[in-house]
Amino acid sequence: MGKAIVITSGKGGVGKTTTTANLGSALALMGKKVIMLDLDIGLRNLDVVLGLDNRIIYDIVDVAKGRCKLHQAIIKDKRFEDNLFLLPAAQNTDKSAIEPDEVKKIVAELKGDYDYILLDCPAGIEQGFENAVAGADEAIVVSTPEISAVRDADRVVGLLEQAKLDNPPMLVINRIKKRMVNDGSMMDVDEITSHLAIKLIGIVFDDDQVIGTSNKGEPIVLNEKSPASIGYRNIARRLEGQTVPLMTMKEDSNQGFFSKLSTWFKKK
Amino acid sequence: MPAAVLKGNQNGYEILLKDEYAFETILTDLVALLDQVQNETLAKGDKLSFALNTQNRLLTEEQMTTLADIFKQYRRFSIKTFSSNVVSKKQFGTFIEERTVHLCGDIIRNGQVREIVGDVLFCGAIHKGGILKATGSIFLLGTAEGIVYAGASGDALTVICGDVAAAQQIRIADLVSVVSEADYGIGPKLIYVNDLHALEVGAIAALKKIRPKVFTQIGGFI
Repeated sequence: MGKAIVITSGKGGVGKTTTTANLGSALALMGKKVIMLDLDIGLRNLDVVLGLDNRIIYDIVDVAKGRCKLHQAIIKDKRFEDNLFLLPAAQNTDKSAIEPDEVKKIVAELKGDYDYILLDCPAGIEQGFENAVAGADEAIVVSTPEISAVRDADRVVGLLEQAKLDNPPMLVINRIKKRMVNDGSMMDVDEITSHLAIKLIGIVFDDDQVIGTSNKGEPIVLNEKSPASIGYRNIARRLEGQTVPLMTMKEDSNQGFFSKLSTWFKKK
Repeated sequence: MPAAVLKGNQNGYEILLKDEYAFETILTDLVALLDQVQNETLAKGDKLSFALNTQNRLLTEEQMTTLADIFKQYRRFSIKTFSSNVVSKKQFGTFIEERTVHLCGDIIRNGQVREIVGDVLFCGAIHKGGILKATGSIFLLGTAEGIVYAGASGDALTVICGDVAAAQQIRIADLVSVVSEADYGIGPKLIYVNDLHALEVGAIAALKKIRPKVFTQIGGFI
């Protein structure tokens, strides 16, 4: 039986869709069979980030309303052999086009065939959020180290706790800028985690390449060297129960020649 | 023995409605008693008010109306109070609830409101945007970064005790204070409504002097 995980945040633009795409890809690379459900009906993005937008024929609303069979709407990502699939959102309607019970039914049907069902939640806490949470067994809350994102995450954690999922929600802190954290102008990981009082499942450093690769329809996890990619892979490994240490906050050693020289002298 | 007995004490007249009789019997005997009293006091013409004591019987709303209707037939008589030796479990439950200091260790997150009937000893965390709302007093041991609201049903005799320096707002009864605009100082404080109906800050040690009743929780139900 597969596990259904909703990826949510409350606030928009913190990287829910990017996290879904990359977590799904990372799990698929580990040999797990993963399907991602885009529940951002009316403003679908997951297909674009994955570069699958040109292959959509049917969508989740078609499935819910019985206009097509479930397998007809599912799109396979060929880069990941037989491991990564997408059930896209509809673009020509809105969040109210689908009911929580319909999502539940679709997820229940998918559980037999997949190891992970990732539900990409829309921003906000209205019907779209309810739809996504209804189908989930677990939740990942994505936040960035900004006060507004943390505040919204707090609200969402409260709602998720009321939804009585199988496990308490887990936290991903996205877009951490090492330099700003180290000079104290950005909230640090411990501060956010202890404030939200939920389990931290991973951190992802801010990386320009994420946008670059997304624009090309390629998840960043395919690039093994990027720090963001390592962050997402670590989250996938922790979901699988592996113990992976948190990435260090130390600045990369891209100092200039003279500063290197001076630290060398200081050591002596 | 009649089912309705007239007694006099320092508070005035009391009619005992004996609980070992059926309510119908009480009604007949009460009418007989009132007729007799009316005849005997006709010459004086005073207005008389009676306290009705139902002993170990709880009257329903309907029964109270029936009694009130009987008294309406006598121009000079009226019911002062209804009293009884017993209370309903529901009423007693509310009484206990209101007098208990509830222990609460929840995390109250942004957008959540935790409502408590009675006093609360709070050991959890109120996040920014969260509200802890109690009809009684609030004693804070945990962290408060949101809104702390005591005396939510309008009781201005309630207090807030604890460190509120990080909270967003303090509310007692109908009074509101924005913490960042007021100086509550650091460390545990006592916040209460003073005689001029304004919020005031004091030392926690002053609680016993300012609100002695906070320390006598149980007793005096009726």
